[in-house]
Amino acid sequence: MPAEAITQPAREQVKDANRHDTFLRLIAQYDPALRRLAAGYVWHGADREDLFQEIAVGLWQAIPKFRGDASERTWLYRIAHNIAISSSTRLHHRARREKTMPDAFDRASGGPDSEQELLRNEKRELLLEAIRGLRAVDRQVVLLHLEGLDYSEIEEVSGLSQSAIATRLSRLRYKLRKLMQSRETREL
Amino acid sequence: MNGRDELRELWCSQPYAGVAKGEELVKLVAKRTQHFDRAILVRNMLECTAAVVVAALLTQLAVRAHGLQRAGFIVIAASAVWIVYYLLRYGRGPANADPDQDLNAFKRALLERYDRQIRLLKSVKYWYLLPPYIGLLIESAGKLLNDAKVGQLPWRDFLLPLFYTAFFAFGWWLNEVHAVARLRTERSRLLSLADGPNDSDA
Repeated sequence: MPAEAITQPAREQVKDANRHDTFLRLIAQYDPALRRLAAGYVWHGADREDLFQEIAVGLWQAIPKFRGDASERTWLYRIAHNIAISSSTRLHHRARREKTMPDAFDRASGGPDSEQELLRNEKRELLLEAIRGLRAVDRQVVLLHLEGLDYSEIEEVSGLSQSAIATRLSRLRYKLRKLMQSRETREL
Repeated sequence: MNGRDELRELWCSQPYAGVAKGEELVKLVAKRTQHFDRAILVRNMLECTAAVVVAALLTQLAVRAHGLQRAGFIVIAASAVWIVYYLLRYGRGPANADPDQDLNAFKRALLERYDRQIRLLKSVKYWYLLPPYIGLLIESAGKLLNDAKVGQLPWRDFLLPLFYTAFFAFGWWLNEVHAVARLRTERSRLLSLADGPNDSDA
């Protein structure tokens, strides 16, 4: 039909423009959160950037398929976490042993200029290290919780029931604190 | 400040170097996606072209040859077409598991993808290596018989099958041993990341 032949490319253009705008909006809104998420999965600064880009590619590909069954936020976190898990199995070669020095990612805010800031950075490193030592499902629950998602949102992302999430979180919070304390003591 | 809030506050206070500029990221993403699509297209075209060229050349040689040698050339030509057909029909699964699902479903999809790739590599000897290898052996036997008929038995007639065997054995090792071992390592890493008691892999 001629009318369809004319409108089809126009429709495609509108679709592309929508995808483009949605992508830009999501990145503007979630860039820091996605970078924090990457830091929870891989040690190396270059790997984090790679992972961030892989997540961006995954989002770009997933936007046309988003039907609004879940909230946009939980949909985004689900994709980001899944890509992080599959990518981190491949990025393993630049392993955790290489992480020794904090990289540009960690120092970008100008660096510690006081003892308090230094202590805070150390604590943050301990937290990251403890999080990276968790199983994938625990890591996902903790990271989502730390990003401020409530139980129902974590349920949408992880597929766990809210009661399971509550139990898990209380155990994990305790475990993280213990891990941080033990590493703090060990480092002293 | 209670422990939970401190953790959250610590987590959210992570500094990071520069936010990506949206438009730059769009370009980068488009480039990566296009690069991937183009790489797949180029690979498929190369495989098809190579199959057509090999099949055409070997068919020509078959026309000129006789007896067993002709049969060998025909088997090799048919193998080239068969391999590309098999690759296009069974060799290509979805490039990636759909990440828009919960962790368990996604893990299952990833594991299935690994298992599929491992199965495909383990069957390489049947659909990829054996057909042309058999063709080459038949052709070599034909040549040896032809040379024997005219009272010549050059050392090449004995050496070439040995070379083919070594070559195809290397191909078998590369696919079924080396590549499968790499995939199994990645698969078990995924399992330990998802299920391990206290994984710290990545």
